[in-house]
Amino acid sequence: MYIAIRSKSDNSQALEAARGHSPNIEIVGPRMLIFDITGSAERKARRLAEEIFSEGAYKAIGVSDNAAAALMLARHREGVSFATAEDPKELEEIPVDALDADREFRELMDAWGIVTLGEFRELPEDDMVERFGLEIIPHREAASGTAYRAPGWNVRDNNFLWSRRLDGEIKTIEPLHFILSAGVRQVFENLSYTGLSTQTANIILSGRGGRKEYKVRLVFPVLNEKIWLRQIVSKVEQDPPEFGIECVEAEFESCRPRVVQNNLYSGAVLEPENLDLVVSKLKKVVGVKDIGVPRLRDSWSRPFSMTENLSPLTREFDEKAGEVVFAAYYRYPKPVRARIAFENGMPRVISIKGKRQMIRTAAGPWRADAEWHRADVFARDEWDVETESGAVYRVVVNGPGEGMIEGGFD
Amino acid sequence: MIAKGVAKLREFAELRQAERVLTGVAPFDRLNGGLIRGGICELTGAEGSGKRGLVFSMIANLTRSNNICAVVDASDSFDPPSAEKSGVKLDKILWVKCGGDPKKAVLSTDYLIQSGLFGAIWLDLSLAEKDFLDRMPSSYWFRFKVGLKDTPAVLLVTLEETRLRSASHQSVRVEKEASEWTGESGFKVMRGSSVKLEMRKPISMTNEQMSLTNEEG
Repeated sequence: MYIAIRSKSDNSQALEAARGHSPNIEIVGPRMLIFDITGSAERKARRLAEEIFSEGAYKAIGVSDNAAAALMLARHREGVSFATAEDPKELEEIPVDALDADREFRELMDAWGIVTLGEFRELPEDDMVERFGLEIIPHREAASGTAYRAPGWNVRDNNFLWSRRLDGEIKTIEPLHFILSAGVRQVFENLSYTGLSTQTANIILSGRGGRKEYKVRLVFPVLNEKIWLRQIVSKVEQDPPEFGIECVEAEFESCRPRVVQNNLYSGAVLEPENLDLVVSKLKKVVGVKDIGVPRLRDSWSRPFSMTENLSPLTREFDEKAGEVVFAAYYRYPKPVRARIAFENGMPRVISIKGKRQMIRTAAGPWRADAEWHRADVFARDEWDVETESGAVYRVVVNGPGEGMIEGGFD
Repeated sequence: MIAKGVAKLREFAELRQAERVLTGVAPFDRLNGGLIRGGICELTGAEGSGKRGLVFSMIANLTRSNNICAVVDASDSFDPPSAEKSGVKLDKILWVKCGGDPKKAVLSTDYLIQSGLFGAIWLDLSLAEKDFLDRMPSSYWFRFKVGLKDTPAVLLVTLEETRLRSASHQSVRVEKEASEWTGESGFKVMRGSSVKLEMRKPISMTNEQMSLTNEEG
C-alpha cells in the first residue's frame, strides 16, 4: 500500500510521519511526498492515513495499492481518500483533466461531456485506441488505478539519495562536476522542502574497473551547492579513481540546520585534510614557523609560544563567555625606542618617533625580574603611561631618559 | 543613474535581511544587531581606543561556542596571555604571524576566506604601515566581500582609520572617552576605561557606551 501526502506548507511534518512507518520515502515536490507501507492491510493503511491527517498539517492524503493512484488522490482530492483496483470509486470521481494528456484529448473529452475518470473508463478501450493510438493506454491505466510508477525512493533513514547511471564512461573532472552539480541541486531541493540541512555526504563513483567511496564532512550544516561541490571535487581530485566512471551516487545525511542565535554555528567539526591543505598554503606565504596554535608558557621572559600541532583545534567547547570586556594588551614586534623626561621621579613627557606627548597618568616603576638562576637574569623596570592622546603604553626604562615601548593596552 | 540607485537600495535591503549573529558583547549587539554572517565588519579607532579588547570579547564568545577563529596578525602584535584573560579559548585559534608584512596578511586572509573552515577571521591591520594601506587597491576588499558571500564566516578588520568603504557591511568607530586609574603617586593601577561605539555603516544616529576593565574576573 502507498500513502501520498499533500502538505499545507512544507514536507517537514509529513517526513516525520512517514519516517515512523516506512524506510522507503520519496519526496515528489515541495509539498508532496509518498511512502510505501507494503505489507499493511488496507484497513490498517486507511486508519494510519486518518491518524496522520488528524495532525492538521495536511491538505490531502491519498491511500492506494498503486503509487500513481495514491499520488493522484492526494493531488486532486481533499481530506483522506482511498482507492484500490477493487474499489476505485474515489479515484473515479477525480476530474478527467487530472490526466496528463494533450489538448486534443481534453477538448474531445469536453466535447463528449466526459467529466470524470470514471466516465472516461467506461468508454470502450478499442475505440479509444483506434482514435488516439496506443498513447491512450497509460491514461486508461491511470484512470483505473493500475498505472505503473517506478519507485524513486530518495529518502532512506535520515539520508537523502540521488544516483545517475551514465550512458558512457567519464574520465575527467569537468563532466563529473557537471553531473554532481545536477545531483546536488536535486537533493538540496528535497532537503529544503523538509526544512532540513546536511553536513555529511557519501559520494560513490563506480565503473567496470572498480568502485570508490568518498566521505565529505563540512564544519557546519549548509545547503550551499557551491560550497559542497568545491569540497566534493577537491576530495576527488586528491584521490582520483583509476577507472572510468559509469555510475555516480550521492547520499546526504540530513540534520537540523544551524543554530543562529548566540552561535555562528553549532558543533563545528574539522575536516583534517582540508585544514592541512590550507595550512600548507599559508606556510608558503608566511613561513613554516609562523602559523600554529598559541600556547601559554610559565615564563616571564617568554610568556607564550606557538605549536605546529593543530589537533587542539578539534577540541569541543560549549560554554558562555562572561559579559565583562577586558582591555587587550598588544605588543610591538620590535620595541619602539622612546625618550622620557622625568619630574620628581615620575615620567612627564614622552617622545616617540620624534612626536612629543605629555603623560597624563603614569604607574610604576614595577620591578619585573625572573630566571635568577640564569646568567642572563631577566630584570627590568616597567611603567604604564597614559599619554594625552589617550593611548596607554607599557614602557621599559633602561637608562636615564631612555625607554623602550614594548606594547600597550587597547 | 536610476539603475545605480535601485541597485544600492537593493543592497541595503539585502543588508537588512542578512542573517545576523549576536556577539555576546551587549553594547555592540544593541548598536548593530550583531555581526552579519558572510560579511565584513570594520572596527576603527586610534591606538589604545579599545577596539582590540572588543574583538577579544567577540572571539571569546565564538571560541567558547565551538567556533574556530583565525587571527591574521599583520604586525605580530597578538598577545595570547591577554587573549586568554579575555576568555578566548586559545585551542580554537589558528594564529598566522605575518612578520610585519601586510601583503602576507592580505594573501593569508584570502586563503582563509576561500577555505570555508573558519567561523571568524580577524585581520589586524592596526599597526600596519600607512603607506601600504594607502596604496592597497580597494579590489582586495571587494574580493574578500565576494569570497565571504553565502558563507557563514565573518571577517573582522581592525584599522586606525576607515578604508573599506562600500566593501564593508558594517563599520564601527571605537573612541576612548576616559581611563580609570586608582591609587596614589606611582602606585597607580589602571582599572579600566570607558569607550564610545559609533556606528558608521549603516549610518545610525545612536551610539553605545562600553566599559573595558583591566581587573581579573
